[in-house]
Amino acid sequence: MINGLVIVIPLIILSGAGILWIIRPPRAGATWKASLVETAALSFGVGAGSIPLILFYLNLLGLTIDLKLLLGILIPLSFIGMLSFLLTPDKGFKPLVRMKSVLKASYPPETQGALTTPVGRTGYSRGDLIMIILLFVIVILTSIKALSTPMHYFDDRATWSYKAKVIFNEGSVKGESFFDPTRLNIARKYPLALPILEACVHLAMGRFDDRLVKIIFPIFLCATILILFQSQLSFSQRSHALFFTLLYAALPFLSLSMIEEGGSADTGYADIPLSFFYAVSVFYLYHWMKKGEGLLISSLFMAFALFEKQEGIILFAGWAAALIAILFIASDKGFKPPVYMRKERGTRACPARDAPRWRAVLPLLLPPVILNIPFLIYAWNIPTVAVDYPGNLTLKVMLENIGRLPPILLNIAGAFFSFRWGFLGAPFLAAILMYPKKVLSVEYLFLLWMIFFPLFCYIILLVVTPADASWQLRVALDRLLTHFAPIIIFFISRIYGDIIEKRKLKVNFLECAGSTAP
Amino acid sequence: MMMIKWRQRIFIILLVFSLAISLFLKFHDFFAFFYQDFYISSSSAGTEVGGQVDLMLYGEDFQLIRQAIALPPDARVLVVRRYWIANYYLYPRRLYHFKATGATADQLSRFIVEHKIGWAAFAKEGVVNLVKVSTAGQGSVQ
Repeated sequence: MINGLVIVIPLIILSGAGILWIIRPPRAGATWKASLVETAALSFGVGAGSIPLILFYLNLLGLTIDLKLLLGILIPLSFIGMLSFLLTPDKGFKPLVRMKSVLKASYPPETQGALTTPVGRTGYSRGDLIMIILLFVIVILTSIKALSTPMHYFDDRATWSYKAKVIFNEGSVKGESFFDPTRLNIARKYPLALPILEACVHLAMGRFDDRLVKIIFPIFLCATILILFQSQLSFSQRSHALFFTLLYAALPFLSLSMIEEGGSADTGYADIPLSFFYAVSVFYLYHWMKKGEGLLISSLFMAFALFEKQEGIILFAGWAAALIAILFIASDKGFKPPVYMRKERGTRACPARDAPRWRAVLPLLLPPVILNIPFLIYAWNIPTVAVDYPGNLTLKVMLENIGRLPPILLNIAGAFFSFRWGFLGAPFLAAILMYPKKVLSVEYLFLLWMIFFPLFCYIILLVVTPADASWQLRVALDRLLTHFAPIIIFFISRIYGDIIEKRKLKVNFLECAGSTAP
Repeated sequence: MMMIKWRQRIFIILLVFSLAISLFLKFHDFFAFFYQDFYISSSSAGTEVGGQVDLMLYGEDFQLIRQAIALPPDARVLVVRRYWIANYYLYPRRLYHFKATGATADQLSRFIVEHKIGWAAFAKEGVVNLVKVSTAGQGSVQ
């Protein structure tokens, strides 16, 4: 049984690497060659996001979700993934090169990923090692904690794991459990990525085990940690990146569930996976703004976020609005356009609404929508009465419930200044208030948009919800904040790097000038 | 020696404070969990429920699980309340929800016949009773 678990997780990661290689094969002269850390996190994300999507499509076409089908998808994709690791256009066994570079703490140019342009020193300080050990311990203890208990909160059992159980037993998402409105199945219209992923793990293990399956949630946390660390290396030193990554990993809520509700990385909720997909999407959009690479990854992960949880719609709306806004202001504000447009820019001026740029970038808004159209049609056909949020989004309802606003705002502010969020609101607020001029620049406004747009939407939903808003606040607020917690950390890290390390970097560079750089 | 402005100092202090608090609570939580709650690990709730295991099962859900877990896997159970957690543990037994408020006996009878219900769970004053339902002919329920 455990053998299946040990095999299926690497297969999912390798499949993700294979899909990455298929959608973005290495080309001669390509500048994006991801580091080991980046590749591992991305591969897991692509595998955990795309395998459920593929199985869902095949099930709609009439195939049963069973072990044969799962292996039939995983094995060929893993084979391609293995090839992508083993073969590169110009080098031999690249993973060894990468591993060597990680161990030596150096980042040679050929291993620079879309998120990686390391700044400054090489070699680990004592502080670095302590932070790495702390990160390692946090991930291990979270994993042990997750595996110590079976699913025992409400949503992880009633919402997600129940659906996984149905898929595992019936091999289908088209059965009576989903389509008979008199059968008990809470939130039957919810996206199915997590239940299908859980069902894959159960299938691989050969039996339903709601304890071992929880290992996927610490892995999502680990992937978020890796991608957050990697994303900071483009503007900071390793010590800096490690500090802020540790600040994220140490957030108490990520392993501290409330008595009533879960949502942390050791429980089976969809919020940590959604947070990971959203974080990758935002980081790659940010780095696309800076370097002109990574937009396809950003778009792909937004598609996964949409299929992960219904809040993905809000996150997608914010992401799409940001992308369109960037296109409007790109050439005027000094952002680098995509690589394929830089050659054009070298020869002629690129006006603000240059047609090639719009034609090149706007299609990348489509994958999240197109990939999720089958699910939207599927969910549309499920005969059930869901909570009618769109119907409640009227001025009348909002004015009637306006009295809810003060407690909602107080609760949100209180959460960020609470122990369970490690008083994260304090440095975040300080960064905004103490450096207003910096914050008003486009790159910071982009990050703030990716934080405050979903927050604003969640507030609106809490105002108009037909359910008891105080109950919703109690059980769901922390989970909603989890969605953009990595972005908050990234924002603070970026401000810190911009304001404080500007001089420190110079000092450190001088200090390191005499050291042996490999 | 580089000079750090007061704003930067405040920023750094807040960051270090946040990290220190977070790390303390994180490890405090881990220790508390492994010291107090580890006994939960003696259970896998995949198929069996009850006994000495605390899985946050309480109230009517727990009562229904204890009674209905003995039913055969193809049992069809009518419930008049939404027992979401019981639904999770009792699968593949099928739980059908019937909204009793305002419904007539005839509607209930038709529902039972249409869905081939074999068992029904009724709750009164917090106590769940699982009863066998027999359909003696079309449209009549005993």
